Amino acid sequence: MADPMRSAAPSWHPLRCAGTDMAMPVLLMAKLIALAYLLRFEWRTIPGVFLPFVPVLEPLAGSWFAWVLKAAAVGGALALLFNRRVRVASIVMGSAVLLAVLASKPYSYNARVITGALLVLAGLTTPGREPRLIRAQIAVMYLGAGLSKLTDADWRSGEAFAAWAAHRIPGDWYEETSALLPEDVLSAALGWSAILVELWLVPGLLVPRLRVVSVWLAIVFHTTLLVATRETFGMFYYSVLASFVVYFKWPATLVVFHDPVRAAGRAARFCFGQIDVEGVLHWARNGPAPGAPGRARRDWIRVVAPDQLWSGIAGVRQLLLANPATFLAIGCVLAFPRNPYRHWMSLPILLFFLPQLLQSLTDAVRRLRIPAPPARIEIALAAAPQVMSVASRGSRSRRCH
Amino acid sequence: MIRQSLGIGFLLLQVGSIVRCQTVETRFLCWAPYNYMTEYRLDVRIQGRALTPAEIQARYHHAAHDVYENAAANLIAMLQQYEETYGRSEGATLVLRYRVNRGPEQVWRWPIR
Repeated sequence: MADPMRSAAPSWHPLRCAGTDMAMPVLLMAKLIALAYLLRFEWRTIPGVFLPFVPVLEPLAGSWFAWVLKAAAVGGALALLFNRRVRVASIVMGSAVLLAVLASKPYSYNARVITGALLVLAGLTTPGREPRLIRAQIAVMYLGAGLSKLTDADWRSGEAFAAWAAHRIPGDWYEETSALLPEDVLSAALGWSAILVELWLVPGLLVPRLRVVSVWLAIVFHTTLLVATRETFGMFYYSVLASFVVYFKWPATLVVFHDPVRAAGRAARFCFGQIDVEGVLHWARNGPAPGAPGRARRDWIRVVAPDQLWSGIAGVRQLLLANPATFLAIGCVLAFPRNPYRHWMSLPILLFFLPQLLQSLTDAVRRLRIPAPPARIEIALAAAPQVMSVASRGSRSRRCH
Repeated sequence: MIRQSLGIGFLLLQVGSIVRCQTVETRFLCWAPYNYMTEYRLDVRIQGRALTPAEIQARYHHAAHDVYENAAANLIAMLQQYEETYGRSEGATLVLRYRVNRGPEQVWRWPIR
């Protein structure tokens, strides 16, 4: 996948993800993982050699080993955040996490393995190509999780889910709901839901036409677990959700028509102009569109991509989704240390983006039929042809009316 | 090309581990997250003296009484590895009582007779 936002020298700006030798979405994923890793002080948990998987590590027992790994993990994370030799940094940080797992069986949790694996594979991903290794890693993870449940009689009967829920879900609401139904019905239903979702995600995340819907399904699945259990399962929630940014197409250019007469239009112009560190947005005044219905003329903001158009809140949602800063800010909020409300905070974030999930579902269904011509987009582009000509030349100008 | 091959090799290792886990009892490194709830109590004696919960935690990096969120075989493998390596000369006796997914209680003892 070509990275059109690649420029000459990498910036030190932590919100910037373009212009390095790593594709933009891959670096954003690595940054999100690094950010959560630092904010949660995960590096402090790295142990020395203790009951290693590989006996060859046994002679390395001693406090220095743990400190070397900690330094590598923290150094790699900081280098990723500040865009310094990002591929090397990703491999170093990921290798440190994986080596810590290999050096200590009690330390080996899936959350740590997926964190290390994603970082190593991010470093191994060839720039300018689809991040297939990362996508395959996520598919392998769901394959293992789904298969291990499917082949376990306790999971098929619901007994394993009931035991998990009794231990993991706080409060009485699960037990009370379960008591309203015949024995094991709720636990069996939820256990099978988990099995089916995990197994669906294997092809769902690999087949291009199923990908976007499957990503949203996975986000809803993991966020539901977060809210129900109030647990992120260590780095698991952060690492897996961070990996989903590599499944989306990131726009190289978005043309934004705003209404400077209205306060909302001016505010949007100011706020999004401030956080558009990649220079993706091209701003123009929202003039009356010939042939457009009256309501479209009054839009305080309209966002135009090559094949789609959004207005109002939907436009704001697109501007947020197209900006790496949004994801880094969400990562900060959810990974902030000693935040007892992170599970509740994830809900409004998810609800804000829920229409995007519904749109993805609609699009997936529509793709099964013959696509209709994008009439609304033609109307919008006709309103300001001069803007599009500037945008198509690749100008970095933010103001072009 | 080398990087791609390394990545593919890494993924194939994991697939191999997933397949292997279908044939063994342990569930290390095979993507089986939180699939088992193993509630256990561990009693350890060295030369007739019972270790305190704090001593057990320090010795095995596991609490004396807890819920281990993975296969019981993993826990047993770690205890056994400890006693066969670091604790070989101490002659500890272990009794692990555990229940998997709220099932019947089972007991594992070390040394194995």
